[in-house]
Amino acid sequence: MTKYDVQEYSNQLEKDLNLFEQWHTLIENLIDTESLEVILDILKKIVLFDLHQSKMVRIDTPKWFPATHWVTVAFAQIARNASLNDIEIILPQAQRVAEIHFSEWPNASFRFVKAPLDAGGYYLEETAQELRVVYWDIFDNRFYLDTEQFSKLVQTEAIQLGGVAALAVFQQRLTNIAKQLSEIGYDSVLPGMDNTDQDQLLMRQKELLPDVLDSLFVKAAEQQFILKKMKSADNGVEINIGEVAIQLAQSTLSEHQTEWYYKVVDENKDITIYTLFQQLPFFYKWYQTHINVVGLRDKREVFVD
Amino acid sequence: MDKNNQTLLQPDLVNQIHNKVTFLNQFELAIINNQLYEMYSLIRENNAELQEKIQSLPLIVSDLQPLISRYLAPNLIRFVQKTLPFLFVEPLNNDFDNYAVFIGDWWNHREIGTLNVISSVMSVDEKIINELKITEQLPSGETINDDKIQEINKNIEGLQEFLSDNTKRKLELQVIEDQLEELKTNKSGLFGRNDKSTKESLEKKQELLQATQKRVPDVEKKLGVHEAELLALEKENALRQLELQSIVAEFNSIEDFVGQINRLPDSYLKSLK
Repeated sequence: MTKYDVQEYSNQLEKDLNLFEQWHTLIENLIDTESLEVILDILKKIVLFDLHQSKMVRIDTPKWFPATHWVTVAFAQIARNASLNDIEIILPQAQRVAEIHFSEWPNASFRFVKAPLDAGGYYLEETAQELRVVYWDIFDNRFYLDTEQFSKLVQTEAIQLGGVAALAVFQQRLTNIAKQLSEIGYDSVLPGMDNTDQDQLLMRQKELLPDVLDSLFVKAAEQQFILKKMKSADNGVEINIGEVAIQLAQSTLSEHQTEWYYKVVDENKDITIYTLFQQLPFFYKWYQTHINVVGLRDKREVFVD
Repeated sequence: MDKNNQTLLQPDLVNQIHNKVTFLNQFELAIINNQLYEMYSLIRENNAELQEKIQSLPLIVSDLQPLISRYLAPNLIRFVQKTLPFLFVEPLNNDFDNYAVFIGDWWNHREIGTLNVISSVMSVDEKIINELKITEQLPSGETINDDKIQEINKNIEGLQEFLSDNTKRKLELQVIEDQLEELKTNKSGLFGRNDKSTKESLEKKQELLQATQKRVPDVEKKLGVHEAELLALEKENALRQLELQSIVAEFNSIEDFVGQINRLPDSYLKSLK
C-alpha cells in the first residue's frame, strides 16, 4: 500500500498542463508571425520540444506530428512570405507530415524528410518522385540546393506542365528565401537558381575532355542547334537558342589552373540554366550523362541517398 | 668566251634587264596606287612558269614573297568570305602564302582546303568533297556511317547487357558461397552422396560465375572503346550534315560549290578590275 498524495497529483497535472500551454503558445506563434527570425526561433524550439516530458497527460492521436511536419509547416510560412504566389498546406489522410502545394506547381507536392546525416538537417523533396530540392539545417544555419535532383525534377511531367513561367516563380521564391536566410547569417548556396546570377556557374570538374564537348556538339546538331566556338573567349563554346545563349567557358584560376563554367546569356535576365534544362531535352540528356564532370558545383557532401 | 660573242649577247642581256626594271617599276606603281588587279596581272605575266596555278612570285621579287603575300592577303580573304560566307579563313603558322580554309564556325569545324594568296587558288580536300557528294545523294535522314553505327550499337548493347547482369551475378555468387558454407558447417566435412553432388554442382557454378566476373574489366574497356568509336562516327555525321546544309543554302549542289571554288582566281581577278 502506498500513500496517495492528492497534492502531488495536482502538482504533476499542473506541470503537464503548463507544458502543453507552452506547446500551444509555440504553435500559435508559428502561425501568427511573418518574421523569419521568429519563425526560425520557434521552429528550433518545436523541434527540440519533448512532449513526452509530460507525466500525467498522454496524448495519442493522429494529430501527433513528427519534427519533419513542423519543419514543413514553418518552411511553408517562410515560402508564403517570400512570394506573391500563394501556397497551401495539405495534410494527406493517414499521414503524419503535411505537404506543401505551391500555386505555381499545382500538380506537385513537397514535404520535408530527415536527412540521414550525423549533422542532422532536412531535405525538401517532391513527394511523387522523391526528388530533393534543398537541404535545410536549422541549427547550423545551412540552406543548400541539390542541383542534380532539381535539374531532374524540372523534367518531371508535373513540373513540365507548369512551363517556364511557373519555374521562374518557384526559382524566385526559393532565391528570396535564400537571400533572407543569408541576411541573418545562413550559408545559402543555390547554384543556378537566381536569374540575375547566371554568369559563372562552376562545373564540378576543372578539366573538360574534348570528348565531352564532342558529345554536346553531336546531341545539339541532332536537334538543329549548333555548338560554336566562342568569339569572346580563347577557350569556350556556345549554343545560341533564339535570343539567348548558353556558354561553356574556361576561366583562369592561376598560371596552371583553370576551371570551366556555364554562362546563360539572356539580356532580359528571365531564364536560368534550369529553364534550359527543362526546355532543351538534348542539353539535359548530355548534362545527365556527364554529370560527374559538368554537373553544377554544389554542396554535394550533404546530399546522401 | 671571246669578245665578239660577248658583244653579241649584250643586247639580249640589256633587254632582259630592261624588262626586269620595267616589271619592278610597274609593280612598285601598282603597290603605291593600291592596284591589286595590276599586281596580280604582273605576277601572272612575268612568272617564269606561267602556269595556271602560279604559287610563287617572279624570281626578281621572290625574296619579298612574305611581305607581298601579307599585302595581298586581306583583300583576297575579304573576297572569299563575301562570296562564300560559310567559309572561314585562318592563317597558317609561319606560312604567309597559304591560309587554312575551314567550313563553318562550329565546334571542331573541318579544314576543307588551303587558300594560296599569290595564285588566289583554293585547293580543297578531295576526301571531304567526295563524302559530301555521297551524302548529298542519300535519302533524308541517312548517313554514310549508318551501317558502322548500327554494328557498333549492337556491340554496345551486348556489352551493356553483360555489365547490367553483373549485380545479378554478384548476388548469385553470394548465394552459392552461403550455400557452400552451410554445407561445410552442417556436415563437418562428412558429406552424403547427395550433398557431395550438390557441392560439386555448386562449385562448378561458382567457377563459371567467377570466370564470367573476371571478364568485367575487359568488357568495360571494350565498351569505352566502342563508345568512343560511336561518338567519332556521330561527330563525322553531324559535321557533314552541317557542312552540307551550309553549302546547299548557297549553291544548288556540291558540284556547283566546287565549280565556284575552281573559278576563284578568275572571279577574284574580275572583281578587282
